[in-house]
Amino acid sequence: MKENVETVNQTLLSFDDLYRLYATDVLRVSYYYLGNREQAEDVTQDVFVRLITNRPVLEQGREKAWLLKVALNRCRDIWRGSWFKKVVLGHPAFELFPAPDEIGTAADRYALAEAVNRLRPEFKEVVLLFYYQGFSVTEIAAMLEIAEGTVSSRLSRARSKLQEELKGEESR
Amino acid sequence: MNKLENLPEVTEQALNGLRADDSLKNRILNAALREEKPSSFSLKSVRLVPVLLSSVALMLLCVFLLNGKKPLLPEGEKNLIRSFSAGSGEVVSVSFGSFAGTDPASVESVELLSSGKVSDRALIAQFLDALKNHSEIVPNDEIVLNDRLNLFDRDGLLFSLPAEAPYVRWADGVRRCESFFEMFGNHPD
Repeated sequence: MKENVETVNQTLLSFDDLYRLYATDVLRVSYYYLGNREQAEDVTQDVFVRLITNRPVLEQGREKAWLLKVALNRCRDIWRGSWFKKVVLGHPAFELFPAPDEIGTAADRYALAEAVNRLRPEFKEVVLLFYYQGFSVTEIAAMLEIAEGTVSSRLSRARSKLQEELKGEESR
Repeated sequence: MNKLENLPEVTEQALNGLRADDSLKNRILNAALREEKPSSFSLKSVRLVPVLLSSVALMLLCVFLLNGKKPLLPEGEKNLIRSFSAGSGEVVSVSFGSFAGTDPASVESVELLSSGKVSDRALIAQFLDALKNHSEIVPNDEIVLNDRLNLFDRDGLLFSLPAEAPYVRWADGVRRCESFFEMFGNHPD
């Protein structure tokens, strides 16, 4: 059967490859978002189970973007669904997991990570994708399905917010 | 150290102990297997109505086979974890079984490259129903398929299939889906 169609370059990576390359990123971004290790692991599980069972069409070079997009969608669902916990019990503590030989180093090294975790979800998403995962504004706009201008303005507001937070920390 | 540009480095240090390890991987593989495994047989689950319905379905299937035609639905997919693999640089047809299991509520748009995209949920449900329930395998494998049928969910492209009205190619062969193409043609977005 001859086909003359525009084709999508499907990923050449197997589940094992994708897990090895990106699962820790998915886990950490989810953890930044939710501040809860168990929930972050659940999100990572959901993302990769979906990868196995649905076998979506993943373009070569866009695998990580897809995994993080699905993870952030799931994080948002959990965040919206946890109204009771957020409002009644307060925001979960953002616990750090340094390597054993890093324990005891100056706490201010981690102030940034904690401040990022305290950002509102819509700011946190763009900061994590831009500064932590290295995606461009255009790529983030496509992933989150928002305008590039919205991504830029959220980044700018997040930067201001973080600056305020970190100044406050220093003066304490 | 407090600059945002340092976030990857800071995260590497602050969350170094948080890693996706083999135990999480095993948890994922087990969960995937559970999702794919059909529910186990139990005497408690045997009820008269399902048994009768199954018998009728079996009889219809026999009649169908005796008439020399192929059944509408092929066998379900087996062992997805092992069969999940790379691909050959080109989108290949997904199996009809995999498509038939797709939840219509999760599909956000259906696109025919030549005719545009439809995002109306009610229409999408009708389209999927037509593709699932009103399609049949045609024996002619020489049909040239120049178009493409794409299904998107909120995470992006879900399926991408070679198509040419009124045919779509699945892994089980070329299927004639006349009612789908008719409906799609009459309802562009």
